[in-house]
Amino acid sequence: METSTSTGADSHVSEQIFEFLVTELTHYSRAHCAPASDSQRDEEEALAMASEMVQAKVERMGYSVGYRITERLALNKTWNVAPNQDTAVAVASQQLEAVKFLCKDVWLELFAKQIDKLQTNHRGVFVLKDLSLKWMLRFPVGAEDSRIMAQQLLSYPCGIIRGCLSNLGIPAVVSCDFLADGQSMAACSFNIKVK
Amino acid sequence: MAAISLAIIGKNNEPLFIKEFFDESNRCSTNFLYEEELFGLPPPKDRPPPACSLRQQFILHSALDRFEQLAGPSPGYAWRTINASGTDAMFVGLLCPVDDLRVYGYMTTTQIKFILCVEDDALPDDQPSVDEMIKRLLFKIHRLYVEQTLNPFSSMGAPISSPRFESQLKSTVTAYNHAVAR
Repeated sequence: METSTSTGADSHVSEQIFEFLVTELTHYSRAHCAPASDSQRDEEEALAMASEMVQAKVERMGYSVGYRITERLALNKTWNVAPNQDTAVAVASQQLEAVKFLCKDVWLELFAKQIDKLQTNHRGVFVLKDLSLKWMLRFPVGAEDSRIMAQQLLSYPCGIIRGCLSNLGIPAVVSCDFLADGQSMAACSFNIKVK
Repeated sequence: MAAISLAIIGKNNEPLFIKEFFDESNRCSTNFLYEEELFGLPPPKDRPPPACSLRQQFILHSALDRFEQLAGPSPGYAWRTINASGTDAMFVGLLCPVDDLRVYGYMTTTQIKFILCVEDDALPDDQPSVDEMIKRLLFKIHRLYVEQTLNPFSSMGAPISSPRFESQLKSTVTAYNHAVAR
């Protein structure tokens, strides 16, 4: 990952260190959202609740990062929208341009690669597929714990996507999925639904 | 073409930052009224005086209407020349002249609007180069704004209250004012 500030001196962050940080961020959130211990009669529910809370927390952190980094990356970036269009068409093409910006510029900055696949129904639903998300490559496959943890960590890029789009004026709901469950945790898809 | 005042307006037309640039020495107290004083209430003692005189606030407000006309709800971007990109596409240009002032606009991809008010004392022949200089100044201010948003402790979409931003802005504008002073 690389971030450059406008002061001229480019500051770089080591990829490995950043990966550690993202993982630790999930650990930190888990430690802060421990399941409520007094509700012993329904432990499973408490666990699920805590997991949700961790996801929400990590997602919010991602949102803030996505929002801010978009401001930086859009510094020199404009997209042309053909004038004299129908409003609905213009809005749709704006959304597509914003998602393309996300797939190309933002992903390039975060993961040094573009999104592998972008699908849309042209009615406000976008599906982004990344077949080897860098942060998820080292997750063991098959264990239930690992799956829960991976889900929580995946809320972070979800939040980044939501923050990025929200700064570009598109309120959206983002959810994520694993594509190749048995084989790899790193293949995942993000579903964006514009509100 | 000295810069007089600047407003940064957020996505939903909420003011993020309003500032008038002036010499502390010739600050005229009658122009800098608290909102309370407009309604005949006593001025509050616990707040610093407003950063912008009423006249400048009115000018910036009325310029925002013109801005809306140009930038408007989509399909907007009426000001853009075809195939312009980057800063050229963000620079809206002259919004309107007001008395002896000219008001310029700039809008980022993330829908943040910058409105800059400058003195109107350039010769007509100089106008293209003056526009170029103002464009460059606005781009510098845009970069300062981006730096301010990158600060993880600044709150998103809230009015800017950062001494660092203010001092950097001040030095940028002072440098510009020196460059254009004759």
